[in-house]
Amino acid sequence: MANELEIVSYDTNVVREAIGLTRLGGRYQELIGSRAAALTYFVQGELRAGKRGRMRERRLAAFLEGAQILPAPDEAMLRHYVDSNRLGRRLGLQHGVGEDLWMIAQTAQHDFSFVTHDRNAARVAKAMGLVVYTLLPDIEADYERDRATLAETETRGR
Amino acid sequence: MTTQEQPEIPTPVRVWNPARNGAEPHRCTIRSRVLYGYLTLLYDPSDLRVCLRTGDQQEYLMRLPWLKLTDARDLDGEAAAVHFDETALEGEIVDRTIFALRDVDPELVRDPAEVRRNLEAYWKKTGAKPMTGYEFAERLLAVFDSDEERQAYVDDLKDLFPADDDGE
Repeated sequence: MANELEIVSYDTNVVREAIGLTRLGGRYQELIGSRAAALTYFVQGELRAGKRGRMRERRLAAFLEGAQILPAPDEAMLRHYVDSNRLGRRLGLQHGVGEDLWMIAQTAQHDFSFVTHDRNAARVAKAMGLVVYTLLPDIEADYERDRATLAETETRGR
Repeated sequence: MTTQEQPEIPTPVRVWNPARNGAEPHRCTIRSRVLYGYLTLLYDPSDLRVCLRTGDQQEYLMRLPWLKLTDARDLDGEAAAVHFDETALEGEIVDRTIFALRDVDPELVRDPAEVRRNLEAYWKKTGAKPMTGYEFAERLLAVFDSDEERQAYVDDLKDLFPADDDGE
């Protein structure tokens, strides 16, 4: 039963790779295929924003209506957003994550895992304490540097 | 592995000391990488709990019930060390590195089981059906009539929402 599985929140770029039938998309499917899928409110918006014909639009809307979409933003989610924004700034990523912070915040609010192929998004999500799945090369080195940066800024902040 | 055999987690852990910092509710979340999973420790002045999730990338990642934190001392931040009751763990813990340590707004820390229950009630109301990643991709692909249609949509998403690692 999918509802007993770990729930993973998707970044749009992973959905794109998965249906792009690329080699990378296939590897992402292997990574998250047997876990339960969830979409943040924001990824739903991005998927609906993609260019499509009228028939396909109806079918896409019907598909998304039946998918596990996280609820509309509330005050708690906004506070997670502020949290993720501050962490992003401490990592020097204030301009590098942008709208992805919203999906990271909503994923953090529900304590789900996060899958992305965006390095900056992966770094902020990891710093937020999320379980992050990614196939990005050498991401561990980024995480390591971020750990040091956060520890240093934490010390300075005391 | 028994509690007695466990080495201390060497990384200093900064946590709230109610005696020194006051008894107002406060929680600190620590996530520590362990074999196949992540360890989350929640602390507040009245309760010490450990939430453990295990599993690897090929398997169902299960959520175990709250585990008892067997020892916590010097909860002052500079040199705190914690021991965990790991008897419920399967497999050897190979990495105790504390990944991230940060204070969390206490109002934002909720029991994951409660979050899940609320969300399942919400999804029941919206009629959402749980699906795996494979099912998700399969059903989304069925939205398109042709490969050309699908590719045009994929290309458009790439233009609209590029990832900074596109091409890797």
